[in-house]
Amino acid sequence: MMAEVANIKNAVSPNEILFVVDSMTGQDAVNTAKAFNDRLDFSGVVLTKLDGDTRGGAALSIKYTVNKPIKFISSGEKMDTLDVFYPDRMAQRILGMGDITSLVEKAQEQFDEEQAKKLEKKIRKNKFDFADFKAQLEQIKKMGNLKDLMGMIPGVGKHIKDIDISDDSFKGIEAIINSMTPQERADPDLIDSSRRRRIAKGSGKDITEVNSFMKQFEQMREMMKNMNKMNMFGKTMGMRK
Amino acid sequence: MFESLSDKLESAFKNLKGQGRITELNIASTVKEIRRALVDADVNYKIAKEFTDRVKDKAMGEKVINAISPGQLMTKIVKDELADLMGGQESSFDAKGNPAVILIAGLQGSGKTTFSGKLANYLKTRKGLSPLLVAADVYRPAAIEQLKIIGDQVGVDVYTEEENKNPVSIVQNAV
Repeated sequence: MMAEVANIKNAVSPNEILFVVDSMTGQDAVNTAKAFNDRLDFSGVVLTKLDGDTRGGAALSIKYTVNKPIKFISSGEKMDTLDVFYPDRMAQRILGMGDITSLVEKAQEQFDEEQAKKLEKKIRKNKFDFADFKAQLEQIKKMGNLKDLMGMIPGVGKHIKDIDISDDSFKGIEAIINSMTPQERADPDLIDSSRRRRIAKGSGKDITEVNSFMKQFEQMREMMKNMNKMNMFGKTMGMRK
Repeated sequence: MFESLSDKLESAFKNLKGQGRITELNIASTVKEIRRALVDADVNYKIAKEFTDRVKDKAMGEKVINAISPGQLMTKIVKDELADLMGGQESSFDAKGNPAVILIAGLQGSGKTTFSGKLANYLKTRKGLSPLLVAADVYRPAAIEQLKIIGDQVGVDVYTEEENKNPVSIVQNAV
């Protein structure tokens, strides 16, 4: 098999030869890397399955053993779970210092400036509705695994490792929003008790759950309103100066 | 990711809590614990030993400034050394040339096909390139099939020659 890969290498002279290794294999990963490097002289390493029960041995020893850089890390089956490998950030993460840089980058990737501007306007006019809320949820979900994201916040990582945070935590809320009509989503004040009952039935939730979610949403809107007031107040004060 | 290693390193630094300065004596147990944490994480013993020797040398040479504790200083030294061990700077990825050829190799089941799909997706969406996946695994049944499905998922074309059993010529034809 090795000879064959070597033949391919000679036939097409690749720009990059990436050696893919399962990070769960630990010491063994290092040995195979050595063998492949002797035959292929690859240009970089890819660590896969980092979402598994990885102890980190492969990540820490491979560079030293074959003197080839780790270029990518990959975790999970989803096609967007590939990251460029940054030794510095990884070291920070191992030491529980978090990885704010990656978190911000992930947010920026999903961030849509136009959408954000629209949202800001809506908040300012106190028109933030359920449809906007749902769009926000979608955006967070697109950033990737919720637990991984939270682990990137400095100091949070070690506190949540035993807590089961699944990506399903939003599902209940989404079900409630999905059970609303477009009018109801756009105008939360429209939802009276009979509509709430219907929404509860539609989402398979208890009426009390719908009520408490509505209440939370109201509180959020109230908070946004107050923030707006403060902003306006600040602006007029500034003008007087 | 790496939870057990993180935990063990953290408890290693705890030893230094309350110590005013780093001395040969009080650092010895911390260094030993760091080494044990690394070996437990499946790092080769030789690498772990060299690593902790470097950490120790660095720590002994540092003057502890009043503002930071020895524990914090050690954390910093270990962080730098860890980053160094994993390659220091981030490395470049060469996708220039027409076509730029990237060969992906590895053991069975290490995740090559999935990674290929992810890489194609990455190059397409983030770098604005138009990659082509070439199926050169002629041995494993369904390997070509799998690559096709993954190519479909990320919207990247897949080059296959299902009758051809010679990977070298498949690749040459593709290029």
